[in-house]
Amino acid sequence: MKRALAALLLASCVPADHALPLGSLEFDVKGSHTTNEGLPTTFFAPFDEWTVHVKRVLLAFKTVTIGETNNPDKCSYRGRGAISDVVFDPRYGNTQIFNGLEASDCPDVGFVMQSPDGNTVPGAGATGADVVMLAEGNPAHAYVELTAEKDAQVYEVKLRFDTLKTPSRFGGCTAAEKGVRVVAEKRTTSSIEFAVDAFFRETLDANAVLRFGPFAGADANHDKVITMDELDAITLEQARTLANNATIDPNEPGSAPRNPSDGYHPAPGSTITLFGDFVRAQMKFAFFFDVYGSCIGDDPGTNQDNP
Amino acid sequence: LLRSTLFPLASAIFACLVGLVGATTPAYAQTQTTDGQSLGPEEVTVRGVKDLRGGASEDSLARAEVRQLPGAFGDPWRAVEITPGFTPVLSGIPYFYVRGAPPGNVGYYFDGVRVPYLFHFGLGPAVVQPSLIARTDIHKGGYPATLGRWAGGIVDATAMPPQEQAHGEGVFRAIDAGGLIEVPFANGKGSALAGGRYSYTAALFTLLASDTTLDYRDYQARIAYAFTDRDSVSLLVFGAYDNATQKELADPQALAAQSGGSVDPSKLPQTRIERTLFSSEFHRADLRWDHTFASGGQTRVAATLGFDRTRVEARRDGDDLMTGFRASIEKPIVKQLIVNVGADVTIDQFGGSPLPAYADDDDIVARQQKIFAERTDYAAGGWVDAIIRPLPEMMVRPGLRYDVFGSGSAQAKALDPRLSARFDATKKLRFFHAYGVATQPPSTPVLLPGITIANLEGGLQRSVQTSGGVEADLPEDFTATVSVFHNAFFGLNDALGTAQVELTDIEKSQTLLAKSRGSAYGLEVGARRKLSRKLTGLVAYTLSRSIRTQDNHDFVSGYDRTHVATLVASYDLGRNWRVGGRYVFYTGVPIARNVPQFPEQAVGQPPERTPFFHRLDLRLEKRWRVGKSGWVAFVAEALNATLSREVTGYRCARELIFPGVTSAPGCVERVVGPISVPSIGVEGGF
Repeated sequence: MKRALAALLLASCVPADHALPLGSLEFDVKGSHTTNEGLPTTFFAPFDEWTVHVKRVLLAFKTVTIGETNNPDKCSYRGRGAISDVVFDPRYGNTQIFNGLEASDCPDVGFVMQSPDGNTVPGAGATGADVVMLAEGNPAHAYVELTAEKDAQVYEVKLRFDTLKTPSRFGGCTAAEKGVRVVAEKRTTSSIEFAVDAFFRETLDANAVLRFGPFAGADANHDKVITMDELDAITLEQARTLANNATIDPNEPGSAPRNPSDGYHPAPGSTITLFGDFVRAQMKFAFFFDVYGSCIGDDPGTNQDNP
Repeated sequence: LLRSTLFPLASAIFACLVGLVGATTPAYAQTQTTDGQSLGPEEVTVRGVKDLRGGASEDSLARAEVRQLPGAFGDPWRAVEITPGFTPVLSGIPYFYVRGAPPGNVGYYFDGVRVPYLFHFGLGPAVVQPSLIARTDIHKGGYPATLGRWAGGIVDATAMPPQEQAHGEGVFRAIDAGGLIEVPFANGKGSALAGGRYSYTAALFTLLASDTTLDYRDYQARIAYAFTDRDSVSLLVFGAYDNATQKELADPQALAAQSGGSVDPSKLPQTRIERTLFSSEFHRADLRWDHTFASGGQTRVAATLGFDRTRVEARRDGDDLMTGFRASIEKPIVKQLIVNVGADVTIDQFGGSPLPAYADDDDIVARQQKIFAERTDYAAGGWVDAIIRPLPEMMVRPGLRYDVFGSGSAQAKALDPRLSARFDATKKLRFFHAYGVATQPPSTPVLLPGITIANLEGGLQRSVQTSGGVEADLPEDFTATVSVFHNAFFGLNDALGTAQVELTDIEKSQTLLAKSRGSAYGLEVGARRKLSRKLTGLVAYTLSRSIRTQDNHDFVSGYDRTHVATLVASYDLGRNWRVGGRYVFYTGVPIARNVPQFPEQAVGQPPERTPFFHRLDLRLEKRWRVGKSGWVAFVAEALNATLSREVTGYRCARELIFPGVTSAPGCVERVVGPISVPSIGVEGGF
């Protein structure tokens, strides 16, 4: 009635807005089951039967990227795209939301991790000291602290992933389909899960066998604390030997390994020779997109391959 | 001698008495009467030379003054910034703090009808033809009880009364043209008026094959008829339209999705859609009956119908169907007493499309859904106002106003007492006082058609306004005023003053709906010289401080400017040439200290204030007389001819604090502009 009266009596002439309805994308960056709950013995069995507990995980997250590589206008959003530039523990999670998107496919989805700078803030499960720890010295964008147990042996693993050598840009996120689809007037949720088990894989493959033997064997100073420096001190060949030695029955020294490893080889075309670099390279395979997918494609927004 | 000593004393006692009953600081407001004058070939007739009913609380600008003000482009509403007490938000942007009250608390009226916005696209030409405005009264506080519902100032433009002779005016400028014509009929008993402005910017953009459209226009019409010597009816219709859109190629997938997803996007033809960037319009129709009593006094009964609409990006749309009725009667009871009684009701039916979910950041959507909510608002009130003149040199004007506000299911009431007085110590020396309480529903930072905060969120805004001062006629046709004011604000919606963030970031802050308390006090100095002199001009200076309190934290208002000064000079060069300049100077705005987000973060610290700003506006006019009463003028004018740029804030670096390392991040200035408006045009009239 009101509108009819208005239309009849008053010459309102502002034209209608033809803008298309808008939708939203939500990306929940969180820990995988192994990151949240740790790795029970069954994950390593029957190879070396360690149990791993996760004590602390920090990710320096820059932002999720959405779009279409050859169409920069596509998937542009309104607002802040919160929350970006944050250091957080994936076990507590971080959610980034993009609003004001037109309903369309955004085939090129990725995310960027970056060592913290002055604009980075501590997020869930992180402190300002954590931000500084990642930023100072050789800047890093991830930190993993674990405890590994087997019989009476207990090791602490403290791995700091420096940005210079560790993959930090993850593109081509693909699950059932490549990228994500924006639906008008709805929020579409995707997940990016960080899996710490990736670092124990014997090959650069998300389905590879997990082994802790090379880590235990890398403890050169026998302080029961394993650092990235110690991993950098052994070669891949040594790591393979350590992996095999770990499966030799301790009651039969000198016997053949029960489950010998054929892993710890660099990826084709790679020049990786050190175990530390091999573990760093696993970062690229440490994220799952929408549970079973991955983000191992091109860099977000470029046609460049990941480092 | 007796009076010259008695009235200052009486004035001081008056101020003290009022101070005892609630006001805190005696303050002042001034009046500026306008005398008839001859300005070269332009005959200026000013009506209502001296407002005998009041004059204690308002400044007035006559058309001739406004026309000669460089940088005002002849717009009375833009010219109000020369009034002491007006503090600009940003140079060239016609939104002001008035004695500490934010722009959203300053109401604008045209001939008694509320106007939702004043300028096309916020900073363009006025939405009402300047030639239709005879006088602009600027009430900065303690105004008569006949006015209300604004916690700050009120700018009330009075329409030129119906004329007995045909007349017209027109202006052609580079971007628009406007004009007005009025023709009497029925032997002068009636008159018909039509006017408007049309911009050719849309055509220019089309010629340039631009995807952006920028278009504005406005219209005014009035028909008046006096059916007896004492009775007249008139219908005033006016409105304005602004539209900025952008055409773009639609994403076929998005189009297909809009049609339910049943269409193959690859088979859709290329489609261009027009996206609204900003559109607004308002329309008003005001029908009134005026009656003059044989025994003196007058009454007015009026009904107003209005429609407002604003569309902004992201499919936000607010509209308002307004209906209003008002009646007032002004009657002299005895020679020394005039009583003014009135009542009015305004009903606003707000509608439109609330900001849809996911159209913007979730917190912005949540806040704006409160603003764009569909509901019915109303304001009903009554007032009584008396003008008491116990002596010819003394006027006291008490008043009382009662309003009931409703929005959705929320309701609130307000009782606003007012009191003003004027003491003429001598023919050349006058003392003024104005005190009052003013109440307003919640408001947005600036006025937009069809958009206000819904459901009286956070409650009413209130201010206690006090002012007082002195006005003196000086030699050489100078008039000078000095005044002080002190206002207190409660429940204020002052997003601009409290956000402590950049203007463009306010939408993202909680301050859009937040409430604050505050106070403002200051000194205002003004001096003018009559227009009839060869060299004329004015000086306006305001020294003030504006404080806000929010969450038990006191701080200086975001747009507190300690010094605001304007110097205007206009000189008659002879042979109908007139040149003028306006120099504007003001202090920068305070900048809040940056607070680190966590202990290990260092943030650059900006200066306490932005640098002072100054600019120069220029105007050059040449007039020719045409026939007996016609005239044509060439006018070249520029606002900010010096292309001054204004610092609005600082962008400060953030760094992490590493152990043993000293960190000192810096800041860089955020600069706006130069906001400069050049204008060349031809004006004419008869």
